[in-house]
Amino acid sequence: MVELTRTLLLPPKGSKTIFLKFPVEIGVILTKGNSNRIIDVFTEIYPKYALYGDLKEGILCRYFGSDVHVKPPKADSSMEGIAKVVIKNNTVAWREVSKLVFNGRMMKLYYSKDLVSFSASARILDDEKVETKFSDKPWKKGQTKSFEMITQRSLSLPANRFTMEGGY
Amino acid sequence: LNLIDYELGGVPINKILLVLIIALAAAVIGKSISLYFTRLMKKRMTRDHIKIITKAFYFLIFFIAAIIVLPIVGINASSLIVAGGIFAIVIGFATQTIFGNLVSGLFLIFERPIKVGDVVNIDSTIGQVEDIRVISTTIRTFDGYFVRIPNMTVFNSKITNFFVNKARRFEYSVGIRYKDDADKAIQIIKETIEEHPFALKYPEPMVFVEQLGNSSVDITVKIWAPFSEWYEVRRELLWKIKVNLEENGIFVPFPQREVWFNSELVTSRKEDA
Repeated sequence: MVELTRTLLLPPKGSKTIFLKFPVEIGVILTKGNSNRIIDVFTEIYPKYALYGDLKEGILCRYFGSDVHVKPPKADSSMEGIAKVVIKNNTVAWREVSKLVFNGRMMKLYYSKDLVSFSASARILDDEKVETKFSDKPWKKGQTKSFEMITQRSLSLPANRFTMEGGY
Repeated sequence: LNLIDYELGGVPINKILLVLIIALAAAVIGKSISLYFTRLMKKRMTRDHIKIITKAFYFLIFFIAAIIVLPIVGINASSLIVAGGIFAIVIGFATQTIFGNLVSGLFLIFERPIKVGDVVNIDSTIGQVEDIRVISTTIRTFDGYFVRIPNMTVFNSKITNFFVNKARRFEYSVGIRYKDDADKAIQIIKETIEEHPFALKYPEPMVFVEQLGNSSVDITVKIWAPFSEWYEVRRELLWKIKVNLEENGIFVPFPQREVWFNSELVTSRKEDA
């Protein structure tokens, strides 16, 4: 869950491209042939968790607060990554967005020497639901795709998507 | 050759064929119901429970088939039923508790108020559910004891399942001195909660002055934590709050009482010899 420090207001059928920061975790992976084993995963950002949704059906997720940027902000790539998110309001009413929840398991993460990134979209479906989806391409050219700990095939989940049903 | 005219052990072949057909039909119906039930309950019950219930169905169908078949082979079913009925009453009285537990077990399996692995409080026994069998439920307490509770007790008791919700709330009451700044204390407590990863950001923790006590200003702290981490968070945070408050000059007071004397109290100080 990325909570926006400023609420974003979107007009009916409007769209906005924003840049957000997210916490980076570094994995140590042992590779032999086609098999990989994760030795350790660590992060320099102190983790914090939150419950998204109601007590019974909600999801416990990693929490991170981020400013909303219109241009890619500066970030220490060992700690924070930069996400480009295109938010589309598919409804005919003005909508306020204060948080976005992504399925971290299906994250398509890219890295280069000075940047860790992902590209995603968020579609506002109604007054309660937003669908977030990762893009298969980095928003900055020349980046390498990071190792996926969980492949989509093994999860049988809808492709890269997550539907936020507990408000936004 | 007319097979119907033949007899086998004094029983006409046609009757034997009828018995075989009924037995076959019972087997087919029993198997079909078992398969249908297994498919229906695959995601709702464990394999062991499905096996027990399908077997019960199977025997019930064969029992009905036997009642149908007995008159065909010349056995008077009514006399057997009467004898069986009396026998059943005797057995029923003898096995009343077992039967009660069995029925309760089946209801527990269907209703599913608890699952294996859940942390529950049943009849003042708190622990993790190890197994739910037809007659009894086994709980492993946090002291390491295995407690077997008859299903009738489980069914009739108030069950608290701590694993149904994703998060659980706990609370402390922290008393500070009257001369301490309560706003500052609240701020320190909030910062301490913020530093703990599993003290959830949402639902938000609550920190407020609950009451002005006899010896202290009582601050109530309510924190949500994931159900799996709840105990650890509760254990760790209380001491951290205490330490952080003391580091900032805010102390938990001892119980105090001011005594006023109606007449002047004359006191003198004795110097040490």
